[in-house]
Amino acid sequence: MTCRQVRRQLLAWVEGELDESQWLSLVQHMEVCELCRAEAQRWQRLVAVLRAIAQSDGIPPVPNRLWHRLRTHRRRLPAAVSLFVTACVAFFLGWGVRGIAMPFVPPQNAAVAGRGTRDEGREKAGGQVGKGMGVQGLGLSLCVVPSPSQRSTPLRVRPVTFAGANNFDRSSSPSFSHWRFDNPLALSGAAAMALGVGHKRPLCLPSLHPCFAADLPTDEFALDSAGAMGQGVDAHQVADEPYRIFVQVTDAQGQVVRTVSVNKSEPSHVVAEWHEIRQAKKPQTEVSDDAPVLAAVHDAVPDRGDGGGAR
Amino acid sequence: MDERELVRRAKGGDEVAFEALVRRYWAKAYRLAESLVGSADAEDVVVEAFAQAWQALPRFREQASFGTWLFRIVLNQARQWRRKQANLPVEPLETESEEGEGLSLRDIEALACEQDWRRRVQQAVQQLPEHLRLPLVLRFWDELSYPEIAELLGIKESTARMRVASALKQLAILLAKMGALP
Repeated sequence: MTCRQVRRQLLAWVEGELDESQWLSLVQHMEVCELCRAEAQRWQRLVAVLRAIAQSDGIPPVPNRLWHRLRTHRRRLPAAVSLFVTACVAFFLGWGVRGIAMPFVPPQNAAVAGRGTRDEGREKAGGQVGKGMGVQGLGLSLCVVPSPSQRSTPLRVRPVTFAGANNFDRSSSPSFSHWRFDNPLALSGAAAMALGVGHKRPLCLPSLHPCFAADLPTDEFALDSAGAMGQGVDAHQVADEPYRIFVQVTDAQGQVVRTVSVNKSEPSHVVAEWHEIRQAKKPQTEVSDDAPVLAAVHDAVPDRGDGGGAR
Repeated sequence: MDERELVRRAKGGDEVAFEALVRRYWAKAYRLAESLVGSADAEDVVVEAFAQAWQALPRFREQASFGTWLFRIVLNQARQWRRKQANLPVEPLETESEEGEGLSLRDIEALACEQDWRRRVQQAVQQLPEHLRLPLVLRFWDELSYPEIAELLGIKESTARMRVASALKQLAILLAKMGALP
């Protein structure tokens, strides 16, 4: 073994990594080579010193601030886990909210499903309409399917009129026929408001759109006096003027339970609503069966300054 | 307790298990940090590294040993620390020390003697270029194997061995110059 080969293997020698034959040849060389022996001893001492330093107590103890930090900075959840948890919470929250808004899944042909908001003091959860009811219908002839306890009294929603003027007489029968309506979403929203479908969160048009547009075949359609929907046939009545939509909720006998008026451009804004308190029918000689029996009229909403109210 | 078990528990959020790992690796991590940033800042670097390790532990895949993984965090932290310090104005070092209070004269002499050779060797180690210093520190102070050093530093095992050998050779020369050859 040459000196060069020995110097190359010095590290392995001090580390004790040489096999028996290598170790033997190295030791044999060092017995005869004083320089290599001195160098090997130097390395041996150096490594011993380095290891002694590692074992010495020159290291400060673990500072309390590290323990404090570990306890105060509790481990955050990994990003993927956080995302999953957030998604789960959002899902169940959404499910809960949906459960309040739509206690059951409406059938495929549902035309209106949604929620509205009411101004303070206006919440009257009117009569037989309200929480616990779903909405189903065909076109704009909407039918409220009541909760099981109320199944015997189905309610209907009919758009009564929409006009710039506030000359709607609630006691009269719907008089319009084939009015072209330029904002079906507004009408749907008005219907939803009339039904009191959900009122615990604000209703806004962007969120309303996918709900209310789904079953409306066209942006322009006309209504006949029965509230059925047909394709537009008549000219637009109110052009671009702001107008209100009046929607009435009637029971199975056609009696008006509630009337709601909303702004066309803001269907979540109930301008006025009336809860009709039904009385026992008077003898037919006094009141026609065809006309709703209105014993009391309650304008629940102060006028918003857009001019007048229903008669 | 077995280190793997400690790591498994710490990954699950067991603070006591992580404390055991901290105590096990504190000195080695400190030595490594000290070799990179000096004794004045080593503690700060190691505290930061352990705090980071605690947060990152759930992502530790155990492909390497916990020690190798931890030392990588210490290395990164130390390098980051040095970059920060390089941007700060240099302040004069504190010269006063409270060390030695309450010791007899003989104790102080012995301590001084011991501290002197330790200090000289440490000084010599600090004078080594970093590419030689790190493998040396990782091998003899942190007791990593050559494959672990190679993995940690991203070099071949043979290169790691060669660098440790070179470091020892240069260290011997430096200590001889300082008159502190063991």
